[in-house]
Amino acid sequence: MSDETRNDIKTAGGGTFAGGTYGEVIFNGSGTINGDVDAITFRVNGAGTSNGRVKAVSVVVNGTASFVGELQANELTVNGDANIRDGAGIGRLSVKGNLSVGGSVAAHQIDLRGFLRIGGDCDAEALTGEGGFTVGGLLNAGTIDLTVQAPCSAREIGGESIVIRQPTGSLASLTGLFTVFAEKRLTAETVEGDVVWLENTSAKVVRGKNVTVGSGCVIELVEYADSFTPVAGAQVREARQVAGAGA
Amino acid sequence: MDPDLISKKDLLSTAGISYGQLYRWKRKGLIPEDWFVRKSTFTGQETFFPREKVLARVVKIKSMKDEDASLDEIASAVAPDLGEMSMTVAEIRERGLVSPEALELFSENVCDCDAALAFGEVVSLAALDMLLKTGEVSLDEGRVVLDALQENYPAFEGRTADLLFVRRMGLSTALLVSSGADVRFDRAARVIARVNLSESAEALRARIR
Repeated sequence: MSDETRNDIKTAGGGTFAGGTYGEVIFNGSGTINGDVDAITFRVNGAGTSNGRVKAVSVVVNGTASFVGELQANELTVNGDANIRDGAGIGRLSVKGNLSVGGSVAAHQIDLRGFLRIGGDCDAEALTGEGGFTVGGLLNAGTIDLTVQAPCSAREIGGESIVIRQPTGSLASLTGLFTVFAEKRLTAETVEGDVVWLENTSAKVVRGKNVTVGSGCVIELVEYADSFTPVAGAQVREARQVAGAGA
Repeated sequence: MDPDLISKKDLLSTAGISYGQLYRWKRKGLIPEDWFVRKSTFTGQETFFPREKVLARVVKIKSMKDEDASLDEIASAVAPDLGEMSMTVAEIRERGLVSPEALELFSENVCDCDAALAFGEVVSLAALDMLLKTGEVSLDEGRVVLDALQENYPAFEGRTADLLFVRRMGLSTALLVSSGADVRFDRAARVIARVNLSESAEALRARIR
């Protein structure tokens, strides 16, 4: 359907709408859409629920939104609270509030300033920022550069460059948000990458070409190919060099 | 340990690739998800791969990279993994994966060759089978459906399409629309069936596996 025939939905109070092809869908009060939606912009400023799949160029959640089906968007910005029951395919994902995804997420770029919870796997070319995350399965990213501001966990982490930082004093402003939670620490079964640089991380196995284990780390086994640099205060039970370009 | 499987560590050292490369290839779909087999070992959970398939795949990816192909180009060359899903008409008949009527009609009108079916052909066969099973569509009408699919499905490259079968005053026709699109007819027309082509093909592929 061409763009000229797209109608808009704009609510100021509340309303329930049928799925379909739209230009802008803007919920300023509350709104519900039943059925699959194909829209240019999908913006929730109050409370919104979509009972169906959503495909949009840009999705912005400033209040609370719940997506019962899959979500596909070039851009998803969550400033409030969003919940996606199934999976999501997103170009640029920006999480400044809370995002929970029941299925798996494939994104190009993830900028994390809040909390991201993913039930399945998470694929991204780049995951950067600071905050907290839980990934039920594999977190697979080209570049990970994250400051851990809340408890983080993933079953496995893999990628090219994996950098996990502990918060520094200057970032204390954000940490206040998470004081109700437990320790700012990343927990994973395995972390595997070409360059692995870790702080405040607990893992059974860390494998990589160049591995640096910094303060606050508790690692059972490190396997490295080229270099291993433990920093004072890191707990590493065993480290061994392995042959091959592989590790 | 199962000799048909290779551990991740052995794969990397045998093939001379790094963790970064392996994860990148996985993200790009160059190595299928279901080749990553997680197993418990005495060191905890480890990942294994079907040895022959994965080594052959790595050789292929590396040789294409040497020819300067981009990862996306390699991905479209190796996936969808036709070797995994494709079957010949004879094999589908033997295993009874679709009704004999559907297969008969399909081989008469589309292909009765020994070669493995192309993806578009699997789509056609799956949709036809589904329509015939509704009991609302006759064999003659099945021909119309196949014709509509063969003619129009290629135009939907990359997008998902629905097949609609419509009857009006004893006349019938088949048409393809983008998935989820709203379609409306006059009061006398009746939509007999609407089949999501990707989903029906996926369902058939699952049965093939």
